[in-house]
Amino acid sequence: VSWLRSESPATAPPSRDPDGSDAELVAQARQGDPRAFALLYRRYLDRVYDYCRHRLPSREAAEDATQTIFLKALGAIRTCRDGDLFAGWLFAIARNVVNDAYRAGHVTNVDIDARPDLADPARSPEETAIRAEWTRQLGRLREDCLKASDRDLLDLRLQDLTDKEIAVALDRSHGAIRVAQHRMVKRLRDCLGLDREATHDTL
Amino acid sequence: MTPFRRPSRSDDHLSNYWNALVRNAPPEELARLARLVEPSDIAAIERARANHTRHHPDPVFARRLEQTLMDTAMSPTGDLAGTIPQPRVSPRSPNGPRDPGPISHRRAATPPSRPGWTLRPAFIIGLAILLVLASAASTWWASTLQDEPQPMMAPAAMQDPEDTAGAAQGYSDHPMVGTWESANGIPCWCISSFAADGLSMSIDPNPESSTSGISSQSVSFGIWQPTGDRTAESVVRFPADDGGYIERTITWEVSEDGNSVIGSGTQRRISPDGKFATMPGSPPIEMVRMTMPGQGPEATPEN
Repeated sequence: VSWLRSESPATAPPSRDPDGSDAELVAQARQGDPRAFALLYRRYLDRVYDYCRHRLPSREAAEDATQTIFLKALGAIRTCRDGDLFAGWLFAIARNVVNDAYRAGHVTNVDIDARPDLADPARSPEETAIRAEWTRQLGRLREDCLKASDRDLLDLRLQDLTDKEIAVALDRSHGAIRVAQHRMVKRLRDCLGLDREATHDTL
Repeated sequence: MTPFRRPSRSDDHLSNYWNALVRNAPPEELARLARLVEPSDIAAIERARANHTRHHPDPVFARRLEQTLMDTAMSPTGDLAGTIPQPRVSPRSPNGPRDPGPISHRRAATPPSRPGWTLRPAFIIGLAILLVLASAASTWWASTLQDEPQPMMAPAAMQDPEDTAGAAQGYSDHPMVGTWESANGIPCWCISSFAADGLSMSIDPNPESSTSGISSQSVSFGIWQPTGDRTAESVVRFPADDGGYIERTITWEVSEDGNSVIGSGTQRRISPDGKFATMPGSPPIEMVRMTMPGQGPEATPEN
C-alpha cells in the first residue's frame, strides 16, 4: 500500500503533517477517498487500541473493539463535520463501543493485577517489571481515587486528546471539561500524596 | 451532584499546560505555561503520564484491519452509514451537560430504502390482476367441467383407505367376481371379467354391430362395484377408432345360484376432444360363469 504515503493534493494548504492535517484528511474521506481514511487509521490506530486495551480485560477484546470502532468510523465519516476535532469524534465512538461491550456482557471488569501482555521485547526484564508495577499503581489509583467521570477524562487525556477533543468525546462543554479536569488532577494529587507545599519546596 | 461553576484562571492554566504537553510543545513554551500551574498538579500529571504503559497492536492485526477497512471502503456496497449508530443530533439538555449514553441508544440514521421497495405499488397492482385472472379462469374451468364426461367410478383400490380393505374383502365375496361369457351369443359373444379389486375387463368380438356403427376395439377396461348382495354396476370403455371411447354402463344382477348374470345399461360415445354423446342403449345381455373345462356345462360341439 505504497500509495498510503503519497503526498497530499497540491491544492491542500500546507500543514505540519506531510500527509495532511486531520481536517484535510477528514474532508477527503468524506468525499469517499479511502486513502485519506487509511491515513487517519494509521494515525490513530495505536491510540485507539491502547485506549481499548486499558479499558478491556484482554488483547482479543481490545482488538475486537478496535475493529468495531474503525468500521463504525468508516461508515459514519460523513457525519464528522469538524475535522479539526476528529480525534474527539473518534474517541466518542471508542468510548461507546467499550461501554457497549460491558453492557452486552461480553467482557468483565479489568483485573489490573493480571494483565498478560505488558512485556515488551525492547525492554529489559527489570524495566518491564518496573513499568508493570507503575501500571498497576496507576490502575489502582485510577480505580480507588477517581470517579467514573474522572476515569473517562483521565483515559482520554492519556491518549493525548486536548480538552476540546475530550469535550467532543464526552459530549460536554469545553468549560465543563476544564473544570472537571482540574478537580480530577486534585484528586489524583491527593491520592498520590503530593502535598502542595511540599511540592513547592522541592521545586 | 457537583454544581457547575465557571472555569477559573487555574482551570485554564492547567488545561493549557496539558494541551501543550500532548502536542509536544517546545520546552520554553512548556516552561512558561508551567509557571502558571500548581507544581503539585504538574507532578500529578507527569506521574500519571509516566505510569501509563502504552500497548501497541499486533502488526498482523493492524495490517488485517487496514485491509478490511480498505475492502469495505472500496466495495460497491461499502456505505455503512445506514447501519452505524450516529452521534446524537438532538439538542443539549436544558438541565445542563449530561453523559451522552451508549452510542447504540442515540438516534440512528434512517436506513436506506431497499431497492425493490419503490416498486411496491406496481407489485400490488400486478398481484391484484393475477388474482382476478385466476378467479376468472377458475370459474371458466368449473363451467367447462360440467360439459365433460364424469369420471368413472373409483375402483375399490382408490376409495377411502379405511373402506378399501373392507371393500376389497367384500368384493371377493360378491358373486359378481369371476369371468362371464355370453350364454347364447345374443347380442354378442362377449366375455367379461370382474376382479375382487374392482377391475373389470370385457371383450366384444364385434363391437361395431353393437355400437350403432361406430367402430371400436374389441377389448375394454373399466371398473365395477357392488350395489347389492347380487347386483353390481360396471363401467367399461372400448377405445374407438377415431381416438375416443365407447363407454358402457351396465347394471348386473346375478342369479340366485350364482352361475348366471343378466345385464342391461346404457352407452355413450366420448369424442377425442372430451365431448360425449348419448348412444342407443345396449340390449340386455345374459352371461354365464366361465368355469374350468370339465367343471361346467360343455360347449356344443361344432360337428
